[in-house]
Amino acid sequence: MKVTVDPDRCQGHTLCSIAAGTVFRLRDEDGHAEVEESAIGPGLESAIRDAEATCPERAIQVVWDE
Amino acid sequence: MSGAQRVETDFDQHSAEYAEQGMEIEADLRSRCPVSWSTQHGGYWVVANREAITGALRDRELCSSAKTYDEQGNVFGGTSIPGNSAFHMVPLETDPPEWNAYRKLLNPTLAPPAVERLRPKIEAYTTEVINNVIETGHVDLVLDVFSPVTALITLDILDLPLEDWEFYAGPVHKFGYTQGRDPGVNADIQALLQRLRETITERKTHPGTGLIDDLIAARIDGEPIADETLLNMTYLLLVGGFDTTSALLGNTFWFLDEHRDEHARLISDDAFLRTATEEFLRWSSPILGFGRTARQEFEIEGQSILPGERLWMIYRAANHDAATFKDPEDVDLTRFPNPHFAFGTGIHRCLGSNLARAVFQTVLRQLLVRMPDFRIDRENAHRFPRRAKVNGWMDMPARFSPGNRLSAGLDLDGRLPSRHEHH
Repeated sequence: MKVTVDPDRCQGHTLCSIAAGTVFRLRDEDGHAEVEESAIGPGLESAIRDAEATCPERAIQVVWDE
Repeated sequence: MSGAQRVETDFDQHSAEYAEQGMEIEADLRSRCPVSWSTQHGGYWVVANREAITGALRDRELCSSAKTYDEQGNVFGGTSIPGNSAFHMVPLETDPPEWNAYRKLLNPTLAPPAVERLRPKIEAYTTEVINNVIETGHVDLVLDVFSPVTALITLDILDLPLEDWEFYAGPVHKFGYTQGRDPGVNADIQALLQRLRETITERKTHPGTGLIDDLIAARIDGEPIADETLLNMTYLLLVGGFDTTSALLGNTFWFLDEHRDEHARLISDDAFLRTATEEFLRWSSPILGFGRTARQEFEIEGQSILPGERLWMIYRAANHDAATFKDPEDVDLTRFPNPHFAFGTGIHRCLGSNLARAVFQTVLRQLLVRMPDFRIDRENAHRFPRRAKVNGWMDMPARFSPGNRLSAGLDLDGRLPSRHEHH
């Protein structure tokens, strides 16, 4: 799967890190999220789906594998 | 839906009726006319569902938060309706590109790692504040606990004297529900602002170690920040740090007083505490709403918004929108995902959101552990009689079985306040 955070939309609500803290790393300077691609792995689908759904800014996009 | 007929109402977020029946009024607006026109205060749009608020605020070009003054001192824009000429809250009431520099200066101090470093102090202040009442068996949760804890950590961040906490927190708390109508409170606010002005002047020659000093030392495009702007930023940090988190705690303890089966899990289960925090934020919406001004013509819910028109965004109405939140009136402490707007939405996301969560979680747990049988005197607790922005509590007396003082675990140099006398 491909996970992205739109940096223009992300405002640092940090809710995605509650869902999947290893995948959505918060920048030290402002808490805005960046995707740690190496952390994406099996078993995290549900957590990533939650992160996408809990973002108040709808900044997270997930493209699921066929 | 374009060109849908404009529904006019007499909605007024400052009214006593809204303070008493706000949720019902919001539910009616949301179902009947989510974007309506209030004829109060010179006329403004009232935006009462989640999709419409998203539509207005996600694109930063559509709405402005900026406050400007003309030569006669008349105010335009800002986040209050009607316009409030008393304070220019920077950076909340600025737009990009001006906003960018201020926000960049402030962000690191309140970002997640900085707040994590503050946690031992938050714990220590909370412990000491509870020590002041723990042996007595009675407490005013708002005045004896929420107010001092939120004030102490905010003053710590700014490096203002902790022993002055009540000089700052008292007037800010009272102004939250008097909103300029009480001359005595207004005078106290003026004294507070004068103290801040003197402090800023003093710290230019004798720097301290707080955020005030960082802001004094900062340069934007090579220029220092103007004194009036330093004052505005500092004042916003005070009002943003005090009664907002206190309002969240007040609404939460009001709920927990009647839902005692949730206490044990809140104390023991970190993951549960995290989702519960977001649910208390959503459900109670400590900031009910904020105003904006349209920068250009745009359409939401079939209504054409024209440049210069004002809009009141009801965040609580968004947070109780069944289109996003199943059974929104239910408090489900495991609710997740929970994409609430308690901290706003768009670029002005509450700067202190991470600190608010940390203070909330610390105070919640310590109180539940140290006053497990607390009971609020519900007849004698008072919500803000008028709200507009802050959904807070004036006071909240409670009783509990007396306990023992605990070590704060941190040397606070004896700078903590003794219990103030308001009873």
